[in-house]
Amino acid sequence: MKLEQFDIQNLSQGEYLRWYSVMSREKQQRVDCFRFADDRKRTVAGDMLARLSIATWCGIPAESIRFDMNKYGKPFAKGLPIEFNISHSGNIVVCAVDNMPVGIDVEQIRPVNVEVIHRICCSDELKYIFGQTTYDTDCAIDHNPETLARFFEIWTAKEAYCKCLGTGITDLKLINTQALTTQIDRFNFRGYAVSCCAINRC
Amino acid sequence: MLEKMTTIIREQTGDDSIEITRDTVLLADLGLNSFDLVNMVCVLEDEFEVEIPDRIIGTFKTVGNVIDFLEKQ
Repeated sequence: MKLEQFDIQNLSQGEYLRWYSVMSREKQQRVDCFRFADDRKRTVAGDMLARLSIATWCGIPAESIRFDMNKYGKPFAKGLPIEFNISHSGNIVVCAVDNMPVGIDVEQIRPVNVEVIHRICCSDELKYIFGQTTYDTDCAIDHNPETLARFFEIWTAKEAYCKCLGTGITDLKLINTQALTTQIDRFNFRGYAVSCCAINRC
Repeated sequence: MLEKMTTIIREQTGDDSIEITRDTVLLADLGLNSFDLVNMVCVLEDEFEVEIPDRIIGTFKTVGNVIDFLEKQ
């Protein structure tokens, strides 16, 4: 498996225009609809990173790659015997490429409503996030950097797992990522949580 | 309903001036990702006292889709 990451702050105007021009008309229209410049940059950078990663893996020109989506909205490269997945959050775009289905997710670590954590996580995951600490679901926002880092590890692991299976968001609480630690790589860097799941390990 | 949704979306995105219609696309127009959607669903569940199954979240493409679901509850 090959993992790549890119910071959209490093995307020059020239690169933006170059990679925008390579995108499908449909995707260009989607980019044009975005209200915020950063959303446009994230999408163009995601497309660029996927093309460059796949091009290196397959030994073909990045511009020749054509993308499509399955019925759940998971993208694939038409006619190429590879699997890839991209994700973006904040300034970071990540891409995973493999011969078998992969799912990747990145999320900027930030304060979260405790209720959201309880809605998403099963009891094993809550123990991992909060340890033996008594937590009160009525205390609105969690600002503890350690629990937040652990929560976003769990969230990105669930997303990467769902994306790997290609099913979209499904019963989140039923996925116990603590029991999937050998299938999902999880790590934190520069204030972001990243998880990557490969189906050949599921 | 659209007015309430507009208030919730403005709080979630931190953009007080954003104009919301039934056709507003959650991902493309608002730049929301899956986590933002789940976050918003939690707020909607509280606000409208409904339960929104996880498998339904992925079917929400536009604000109109969310309103239609909530009105059926």
